[in-house]
Amino acid sequence: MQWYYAQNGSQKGPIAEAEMLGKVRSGELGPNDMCWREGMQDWLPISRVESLSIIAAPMGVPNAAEASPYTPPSTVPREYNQSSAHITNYLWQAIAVTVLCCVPFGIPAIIYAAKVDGLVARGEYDAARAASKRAKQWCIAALLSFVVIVIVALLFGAIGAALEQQHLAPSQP
Amino acid sequence: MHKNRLLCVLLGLLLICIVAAQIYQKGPDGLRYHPGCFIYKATGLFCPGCGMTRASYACMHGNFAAAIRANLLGMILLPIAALAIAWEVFAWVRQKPTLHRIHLSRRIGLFVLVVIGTFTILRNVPIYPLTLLAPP
Repeated sequence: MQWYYAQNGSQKGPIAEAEMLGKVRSGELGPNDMCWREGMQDWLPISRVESLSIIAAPMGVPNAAEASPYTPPSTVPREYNQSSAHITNYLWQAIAVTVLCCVPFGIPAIIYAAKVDGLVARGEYDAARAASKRAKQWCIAALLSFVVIVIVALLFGAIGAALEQQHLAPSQP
Repeated sequence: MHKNRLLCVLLGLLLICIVAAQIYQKGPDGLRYHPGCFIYKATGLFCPGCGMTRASYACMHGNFAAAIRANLLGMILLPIAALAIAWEVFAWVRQKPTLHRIHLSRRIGLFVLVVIGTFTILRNVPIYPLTLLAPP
Protein backbone atom coordinates (compact mmCIF):
# COMPACT_ATOMS: atom_id res chain seq x y z
CA MET A 1 0.00 0.00 0.00
CA GLN A 2 1.44 3.36 -1.05
CA TRP A 3 1.58 6.26 1.37
CA TYR A 4 1.47 9.99 0.74
CA TYR A 5 2.65 12.44 3.34
CA ALA A 6 2.91 16.17 3.80
CA GLN A 7 5.45 18.27 5.60
CA ASN A 8 5.19 22.03 5.94
CA GLY A 9 2.22 22.06 3.60
CA SER A 10 3.88 20.36 0.64
CA GLN A 11 2.71 16.92 -0.47
CA LYS A 12 5.13 14.07 -1.11
CA GLY A 13 4.83 10.48 -2.17
CA PRO A 14 3.76 7.92 -3.06
CA ILE A 15 6.25 5.90 -1.08
CA ALA A 16 6.17 2.24 -0.05
CA GLU A 17 4.82 1.17 3.32
CA ALA A 18 8.31 0.13 4.51
CA GLU A 19 9.80 3.51 3.64
CA MET A 20 6.93 5.29 5.39
CA LEU A 21 7.41 3.21 8.53
CA GLY A 22 11.12 4.03 8.40
CA LYS A 23 10.41 7.77 8.25
CA VAL A 24 8.02 7.59 11.16
CA ARG A 25 10.31 5.41 13.26
CA SER A 26 13.33 7.67 12.69
CA GLY A 27 11.33 10.70 13.67
CA GLU A 28 11.70 12.31 10.25
CA LEU A 29 7.91 12.53 10.24
CA GLY A 30 6.41 13.89 13.44
CA PRO A 31 3.03 13.09 15.02
CA ASN A 32 1.50 16.26 13.53
CA ASP A 33 2.59 15.64 9.95
CA MET A 34 -0.26 14.63 7.70
CA CYS A 35 -0.52 11.34 5.85
CA TRP A 36 -2.92 9.63 3.47
CA ARG A 37 -3.24 6.38 1.61
CA GLU A 38 -5.90 4.84 -0.60
CA GLY A 39 -9.02 3.93 1.33
CA MET A 40 -8.65 6.69 3.90
CA GLN A 41 -11.51 9.18 3.98
CA ASP A 42 -9.24 12.17 4.43
CA TRP A 43 -5.73 13.23 5.35
CA LEU A 44 -4.92 12.60 9.02
CA PRO A 45 -2.08 13.53 11.32
CA ILE A 46 0.23 10.56 11.88
CA SER A 47 -0.71 10.50 15.58
CA ARG A 48 -4.26 9.57 14.52
CA VAL A 49 -3.23 6.60 12.38
CA GLU A 50 -2.73 3.70 14.73
CA SER A 51 -0.54 1.59 12.46
CA LEU A 52 1.93 4.49 12.20
CA SER A 53 1.74 6.18 15.58
CA ILE A 54 2.40 2.89 17.38
CA ILE A 55 5.92 2.67 15.96
CA ALA A 56 6.68 6.38 16.17
CA ALA A 57 9.83 7.35 18.05
CA PRO A 58 8.59 8.12 21.56
CA MET A 59 9.17 11.71 22.58
CA GLY A 60 12.01 12.26 25.03
CA VAL A 61 13.28 8.70 24.90
CA PRO A 62 16.92 9.64 25.64
CA ASN A 63 16.01 10.64 29.15
CA ALA A 64 12.95 8.62 29.95
CA ALA A 65 13.22 9.41 33.65
CA GLU A 66 12.74 13.11 32.96
CA ALA A 67 9.95 12.41 30.56
CA SER A 68 7.77 10.75 33.20
CA PRO A 69 6.52 13.98 34.84
CA TYR A 70 4.76 14.76 31.60
CA THR A 71 1.09 15.21 32.26
CA PRO A 72 -1.00 13.45 29.63
CA PRO A 73 -4.02 15.80 29.87
CA SER A 74 -2.01 18.64 28.32
CA THR A 75 -1.67 16.66 25.10
CA VAL A 76 -5.19 15.25 25.05
CA PRO A 77 -7.09 18.35 23.90
CA ARG A 78 -4.60 18.83 21.08
CA GLU A 79 -5.31 15.34 19.81
CA TYR A 80 -9.02 15.94 20.01
CA ASN A 81 -8.59 19.06 17.95
CA GLN A 82 -6.80 17.06 15.33
CA SER A 83 -9.43 14.36 15.29
CA SER A 84 -12.09 16.98 14.71
CA ALA A 85 -10.20 18.56 11.83
CA HIS A 86 -11.43 15.92 9.41
CA ILE A 87 -15.18 16.20 10.04
CA THR A 88 -16.18 18.25 7.04
CA ASN A 89 -18.96 20.73 7.80
CA TYR A 90 -20.11 21.14 4.15
CA LEU A 91 -21.06 24.73 4.95
CA TRP A 92 -19.78 26.41 1.81
CA GLN A 93 -21.23 23.62 -0.32
CA ALA A 94 -24.61 24.07 1.35
CA ILE A 95 -24.60 27.84 0.82
CA ALA A 96 -23.46 27.47 -2.79
CA VAL A 97 -26.12 24.89 -3.57
CA THR A 98 -28.87 26.95 -1.93
CA VAL A 99 -28.06 30.18 -3.71
CA LEU A 100 -26.95 28.86 -7.09
CA CYS A 101 -29.49 26.11 -7.53
CA CYS A 102 -32.34 28.00 -5.90
CA VAL A 103 -33.88 24.79 -4.57
CA PRO A 104 -35.47 24.56 -1.10
CA PHE A 105 -33.40 21.44 -0.32
CA GLY A 106 -30.44 23.72 0.34
CA ILE A 107 -31.96 25.10 3.55
CA PRO A 108 -31.77 21.86 5.61
CA ALA A 109 -28.24 21.42 4.23
CA ILE A 110 -27.26 24.79 5.73
CA ILE A 111 -28.93 23.98 9.05
CA TYR A 112 -27.13 20.63 9.42
CA ALA A 113 -23.84 22.12 8.17
CA ALA A 114 -24.02 24.92 10.73
CA LYS A 115 -24.40 22.36 13.55
CA VAL A 116 -21.24 20.40 12.75
CA ASP A 117 -18.58 22.68 14.21
CA GLY A 118 -20.55 23.29 17.40
CA LEU A 119 -20.96 19.56 18.00
CA VAL A 120 -17.25 19.03 17.38
CA ALA A 121 -16.39 21.77 19.88
CA ARG A 122 -18.52 20.02 22.49
CA GLY A 123 -16.80 16.73 21.72
CA GLU A 124 -19.90 15.02 20.35
CA TYR A 125 -18.10 13.48 17.41
CA ASP A 126 -20.74 10.91 16.50
CA ALA A 127 -23.43 13.57 16.34
CA ALA A 128 -21.06 15.81 14.37
CA ARG A 129 -20.41 13.04 11.88
CA ALA A 130 -24.15 12.40 11.56
CA ALA A 131 -24.85 16.11 10.96
CA SER A 132 -22.02 16.25 8.44
CA LYS A 133 -23.50 13.25 6.62
CA ARG A 134 -26.98 14.80 6.61
CA ALA A 135 -25.61 18.10 5.27
CA LYS A 136 -23.86 16.21 2.49
CA GLN A 137 -27.00 14.25 1.61
CA TRP A 138 -29.13 17.42 1.41
CA CYS A 139 -26.47 19.11 -0.74
CA ILE A 140 -26.53 16.17 -3.14
CA ALA A 141 -30.35 16.13 -3.16
CA ALA A 142 -30.44 19.85 -3.99
CA LEU A 143 -27.87 19.46 -6.74
CA LEU A 144 -29.57 16.43 -8.28
CA SER A 145 -33.01 18.02 -8.22
CA PHE A 146 -31.53 21.07 -9.95
CA VAL A 147 -29.94 18.86 -12.62
CA VAL A 148 -33.25 17.06 -13.14
CA ILE A 149 -35.09 20.40 -13.52
CA VAL A 150 -32.53 21.60 -16.07
CA ILE A 151 -32.78 18.36 -18.07
CA VAL A 152 -36.59 18.47 -18.04
CA ALA A 153 -36.51 22.12 -19.17
CA LEU A 154 -34.15 21.25 -22.02
CA LEU A 155 -36.34 18.31 -23.08
CA PHE A 156 -39.49 20.48 -23.00
CA GLY A 157 -37.66 23.07 -25.07
CA ALA A 158 -36.60 20.51 -27.65
CA ILE A 159 -40.07 18.90 -27.83
CA GLY A 160 -41.71 22.32 -28.08
CA ALA A 161 -39.41 23.31 -30.91
CA ALA A 162 -40.13 20.06 -32.79
CA LEU A 163 -43.92 20.43 -32.38
CA GLU A 164 -43.86 24.03 -33.51
CA GLN A 165 -41.92 23.16 -36.62
CA GLN A 166 -44.41 20.42 -37.50
CA HIS A 167 -47.27 22.81 -36.87
CA LEU A 168 -45.76 25.59 -38.96
CA ALA A 169 -44.66 23.43 -41.89
CA PRO A 170 -48.06 23.03 -43.67
CA SER A 171 -49.02 26.68 -43.15
CA GLN A 172 -45.98 27.84 -45.06
CA PRO A 173 -46.59 26.86 -48.65
CA MET B 1 -8.57 7.81 -11.12
CA HIS B 2 -12.10 6.50 -10.92
CA LYS B 3 -13.73 5.80 -14.29
CA ASN B 4 -17.38 6.07 -13.23
CA ARG B 5 -16.73 9.32 -11.43
CA LEU B 6 -14.89 10.72 -14.44
CA LEU B 7 -17.86 9.75 -16.61
CA CYS B 8 -20.25 11.49 -14.20
CA VAL B 9 -18.19 14.67 -14.30
CA LEU B 10 -17.95 14.58 -18.10
CA LEU B 11 -21.73 14.14 -18.40
CA GLY B 12 -22.21 17.06 -16.01
CA LEU B 13 -19.85 19.20 -18.07
CA LEU B 14 -21.75 18.23 -21.22
CA LEU B 15 -25.01 19.34 -19.59
CA ILE B 16 -23.44 22.63 -18.53
CA CYS B 17 -22.15 23.16 -22.09
CA ILE B 18 -25.61 22.48 -23.58
CA VAL B 19 -27.27 24.95 -21.22
CA ALA B 20 -24.50 27.52 -21.77
CA ALA B 21 -24.84 27.17 -25.57
CA GLN B 22 -28.62 27.64 -25.32
CA ILE B 23 -28.25 30.77 -23.20
CA TYR B 24 -25.42 32.07 -25.41
CA GLN B 25 -27.43 31.74 -28.63
CA LYS B 26 -30.94 32.62 -27.57
CA GLY B 27 -30.44 35.01 -24.72
CA PRO B 28 -32.31 34.99 -21.41
CA ASP B 29 -35.65 35.89 -23.00
CA GLY B 30 -35.33 33.61 -26.02
CA LEU B 31 -35.27 30.35 -24.12
CA ARG B 32 -38.22 28.29 -25.23
CA TYR B 33 -38.86 26.65 -21.92
CA HIS B 34 -37.37 28.52 -19.05
CA PRO B 35 -38.59 27.17 -15.71
CA GLY B 36 -37.93 30.55 -14.11
CA CYS B 37 -37.56 31.08 -10.42
CA PHE B 38 -40.08 29.37 -8.11
CA ILE B 39 -39.65 32.07 -5.51
CA TYR B 40 -40.30 34.89 -7.97
CA LYS B 41 -43.34 33.10 -9.37
CA ALA B 42 -44.77 32.37 -5.92
CA THR B 43 -44.02 35.64 -4.14
CA GLY B 44 -42.99 38.21 -6.76
CA LEU B 45 -39.79 38.81 -4.78
CA PHE B 46 -36.28 38.65 -6.19
CA CYS B 47 -34.25 35.86 -4.58
CA PRO B 48 -30.46 36.17 -4.30
CA GLY B 49 -30.02 34.11 -7.48
CA CYS B 50 -32.42 36.12 -9.63
CA GLY B 51 -30.77 37.58 -12.70
CA MET B 52 -28.09 34.90 -13.00
CA THR B 53 -29.33 33.76 -16.43
CA ARG B 54 -29.03 37.34 -17.67
CA ALA B 55 -25.68 37.73 -15.94
CA SER B 56 -24.25 34.57 -17.53
CA TYR B 57 -25.57 35.65 -20.95
CA ALA B 58 -23.92 39.06 -20.55
CA CYS B 59 -20.68 37.45 -19.33
CA MET B 60 -20.51 35.09 -22.29
CA HIS B 61 -20.82 38.11 -24.57
CA GLY B 62 -18.11 39.98 -22.69
CA ASN B 63 -20.48 42.53 -21.23
CA PHE B 64 -19.37 42.41 -17.61
CA ALA B 65 -21.03 45.69 -16.65
CA ALA B 66 -24.43 44.26 -17.59
CA ALA B 67 -23.59 41.04 -15.74
CA ILE B 68 -22.81 42.93 -12.53
CA ARG B 69 -25.94 45.00 -13.02
CA ALA B 70 -28.06 41.83 -13.26
CA ASN B 71 -26.68 40.23 -10.11
CA LEU B 72 -23.84 41.90 -8.22
CA LEU B 73 -23.43 39.32 -5.47
CA GLY B 74 -23.78 36.38 -7.85
CA MET B 75 -20.94 37.71 -9.96
CA ILE B 76 -18.74 37.81 -6.85
CA LEU B 77 -19.76 34.47 -5.32
CA LEU B 78 -20.17 32.36 -8.47
CA PRO B 79 -16.49 32.45 -9.56
CA ILE B 80 -15.37 31.64 -6.00
CA ALA B 81 -17.85 28.78 -5.73
CA ALA B 82 -16.91 27.50 -9.21
CA LEU B 83 -13.24 27.31 -8.25
CA ALA B 84 -14.02 25.62 -4.94
CA ILE B 85 -16.31 23.08 -6.65
CA ALA B 86 -13.70 22.35 -9.35
CA TRP B 87 -11.12 21.76 -6.60
CA GLU B 88 -13.38 19.26 -4.77
CA VAL B 89 -14.51 17.51 -7.95
CA PHE B 90 -10.89 17.08 -9.01
CA ALA B 91 -10.11 15.35 -5.72
CA TRP B 92 -13.29 13.25 -5.96
CA VAL B 93 -12.40 11.93 -9.42
CA ARG B 94 -8.81 11.29 -8.44
CA GLN B 95 -10.00 9.48 -5.30
CA LYS B 96 -7.39 11.30 -3.29
CA PRO B 97 -8.61 13.98 -0.92
CA THR B 98 -6.91 17.34 -1.15
CA LEU B 99 -4.57 18.06 1.72
CA HIS B 100 -6.23 21.35 2.56
CA ARG B 101 -9.97 21.03 2.29
CA ILE B 102 -11.86 24.26 2.11
CA HIS B 103 -13.48 24.54 5.49
CA LEU B 104 -15.78 27.49 6.05
CA SER B 105 -15.96 28.21 9.77
CA ARG B 106 -19.34 28.76 11.34
CA ARG B 107 -18.61 32.45 11.86
CA ILE B 108 -17.58 33.15 8.27
CA GLY B 109 -20.47 31.00 7.05
CA LEU B 110 -22.89 33.09 9.10
CA PHE B 111 -21.28 36.26 7.74
CA VAL B 112 -21.78 35.05 4.15
CA LEU B 113 -25.40 34.17 4.94
CA VAL B 114 -25.99 37.62 6.45
CA VAL B 115 -24.46 39.26 3.37
CA ILE B 116 -26.71 37.18 1.12
CA GLY B 117 -29.75 38.00 3.28
CA THR B 118 -29.01 41.72 3.29
CA PHE B 119 -28.49 41.70 -0.47
CA THR B 120 -31.82 39.91 -0.90
CA ILE B 121 -33.66 42.49 1.20
CA LEU B 122 -31.96 45.48 -0.43
CA ARG B 123 -32.64 44.38 -3.98
CA ASN B 124 -36.36 44.14 -3.21
CA VAL B 125 -36.61 47.74 -1.98
CA PRO B 126 -38.18 49.80 -4.78
CA ILE B 127 -36.17 52.99 -4.11
CA TYR B 128 -33.72 54.30 -6.72
CA PRO B 129 -30.16 53.37 -5.81
CA LEU B 130 -31.33 50.01 -4.48
CA THR B 131 -33.26 49.15 -7.64
CA LEU B 132 -29.84 48.85 -9.33
CA LEU B 133 -29.38 45.63 -7.34
CA ALA B 134 -32.55 44.08 -8.80
CA PRO B 135 -32.36 42.38 -12.18
CA PRO B 136 -33.35 44.78 -14.99
